[in-house]
Amino acid sequence: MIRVAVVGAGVVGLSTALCIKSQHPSLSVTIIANRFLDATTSDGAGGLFRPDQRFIGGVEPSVLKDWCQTSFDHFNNLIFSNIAAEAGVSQVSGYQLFNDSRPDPSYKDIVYNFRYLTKEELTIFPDHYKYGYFCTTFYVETRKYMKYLTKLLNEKQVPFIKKKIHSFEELVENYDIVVNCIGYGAKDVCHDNLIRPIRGQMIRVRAPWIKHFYYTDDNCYMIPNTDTIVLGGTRQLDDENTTVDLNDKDGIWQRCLRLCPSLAQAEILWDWAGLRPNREPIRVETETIKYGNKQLLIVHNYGHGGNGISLSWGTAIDAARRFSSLLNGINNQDKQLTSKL
Amino acid sequence: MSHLNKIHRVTIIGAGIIGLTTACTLLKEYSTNDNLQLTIISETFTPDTTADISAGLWEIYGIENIDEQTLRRAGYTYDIFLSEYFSTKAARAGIMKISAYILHGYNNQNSDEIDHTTLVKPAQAELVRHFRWLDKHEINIFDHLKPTSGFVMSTITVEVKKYLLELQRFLSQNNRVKIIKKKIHSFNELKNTADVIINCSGIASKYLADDETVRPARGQIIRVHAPWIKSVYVFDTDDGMGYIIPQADSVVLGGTFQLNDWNTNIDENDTQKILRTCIKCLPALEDIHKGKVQVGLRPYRDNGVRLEHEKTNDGIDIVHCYGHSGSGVTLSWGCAKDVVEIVKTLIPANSKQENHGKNNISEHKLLWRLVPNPEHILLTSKI
Repeated sequence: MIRVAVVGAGVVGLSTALCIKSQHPSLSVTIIANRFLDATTSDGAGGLFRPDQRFIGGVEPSVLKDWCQTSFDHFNNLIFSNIAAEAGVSQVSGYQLFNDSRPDPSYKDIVYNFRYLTKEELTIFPDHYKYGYFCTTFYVETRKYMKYLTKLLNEKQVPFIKKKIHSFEELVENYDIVVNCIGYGAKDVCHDNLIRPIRGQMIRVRAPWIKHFYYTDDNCYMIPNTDTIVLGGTRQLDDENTTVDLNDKDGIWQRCLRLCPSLAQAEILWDWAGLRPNREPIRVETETIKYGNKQLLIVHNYGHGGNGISLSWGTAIDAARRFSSLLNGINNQDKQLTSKL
Repeated sequence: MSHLNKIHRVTIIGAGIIGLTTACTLLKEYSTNDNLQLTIISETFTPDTTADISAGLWEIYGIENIDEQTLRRAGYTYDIFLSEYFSTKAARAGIMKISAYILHGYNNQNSDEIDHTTLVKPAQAELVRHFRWLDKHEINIFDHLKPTSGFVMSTITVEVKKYLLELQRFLSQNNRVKIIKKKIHSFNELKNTADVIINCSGIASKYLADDETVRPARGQIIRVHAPWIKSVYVFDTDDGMGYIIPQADSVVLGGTFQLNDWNTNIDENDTQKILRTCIKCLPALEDIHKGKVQVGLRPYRDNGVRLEHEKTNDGIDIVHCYGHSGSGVTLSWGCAKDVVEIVKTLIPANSKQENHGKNNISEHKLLWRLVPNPEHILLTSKI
């Protein structure tokens, strides 16, 4: 009996566990993590779907396109289903404003509609931006979405174990395949030097009159979620501080207020700081590790940086595909063994 | 007595969206006329006016013949609201910028190819930002409805309850303004108290102005809590037209447009129809079990808005402004401007206007301002 452990219960861990359990319903799949739901890195995400190749280094374009389209289709189906509200997904349009000329974002053909703003349209904004684009995409409200994924996993009777893993060796006794969705934890557990934190801070406010998202160049963004708006942000490479920094908060508030003065009326709900687990490339691959005379098969799925929500489903499907290959490999070996008897 | 010292008394009948907007414009155009006295008389005030029930969407709706005049007034109003969106007023007044998807047809009734050259661009396309036809790829997202064509545009929704409250607050702190709650049955009642009457009485004009061409266009809506919806959707289904319009704190599901129907009671059939059509567009609405059902009578008028001067047989000067159908919010500022232009021919505005400041201050800031909340003032004074 093959025993599978999914390590990590962020949006990537939950999605990957769900894909695998859905494809192999009779397999024993357990989720092991130190943090769940609101305590995960995923909780801080604004959840806006805009995976841009520019910020996703090292991934082959065709692979990235596949991840993006798969994720998009998955969320798109949810939006027009009767569980959109429960899953926390909805369409939202918005603007990206900037002053330098740059190549088009790679998501432009995947999202609903993408186009450049005319000079006239740009004049409605308080500061003067030279360029801008408008597109319709969707947001995924992580808190709701993670609860929704957790509900589906509970329905499939996938157990959750709270435990901090320091090394995969701890799992070799009880599991055969480990699905590694550990995010930034891979730095220590996998001794992975390619993974680097990009610190982000944000403020959650209530400002229900804001129905668009906005991104500007100077680290300013506003993303509507169901009942709240996420104001951000910061991008501090190699900064491991996960506590809220008041200077950063001030900066975010001032930048967003400048863009949208009506925020002065917004009710501030909470602050958050966390580390985007950035890796070039995002690691979706298999590995075999030997511990003495035992071995552990690993499927890695981590290092999504600031695109965890956006690429969660696409990479989960990819990881599940590799998982199935591993499984076939084991089953074939068994067949060979038994056929020799 | 010199002409400049004479008191000019203007009475506005109606304190709905048209009346209050006109009042603000009047105060702006006569800002240095100390001798202007403005009285606003109305039977109803917010939250009981017709527009309070509406979704407050900027869109020319319910008006058959969209002429040059209507477009000009709508465009002016759009620009005012859009410029307010980025100001601090937006939140308090419930003014929101939003994307609107307007879809036509259902079940692929026409051919497969969407030829944009044959599609007639709606008149308002020239007035809005970000108008664009949806291409095949985009139409397909609404696969469950299968519209034949559609467009998207940036527009505004105004939460009328909040907005009128702010306008009222602004008006009442001007000492030239008096606000009276009273029903007017005939213009003659005001013969001796008003030099100019501005008639913004909406559907009541049918009797007040003896206008047979005014008819009710009944609308029923359901206000629900569905905060995940961030765009406007207007669409057709085999069950009729439907719309989903988010406001700051609620989402309005609609609707009906029943001409000549005076029934202000809730019709259960209409409620079910609205739910059915809206669920077709966004199935997640199925889970909504609570909502506030409301009914209003849009002041439809056969030949569109009546905006003109009338001198009655008794010598009373009236400027009429009524019959906005489903476009009260949409035409508010534009009509107010035209009304006040007429009033200026009857009562001269002080030529000594404060022109020096005007060039730098945006139009919307001149029209009305946020007045500090009186409770807030009391609180801070206690510290």
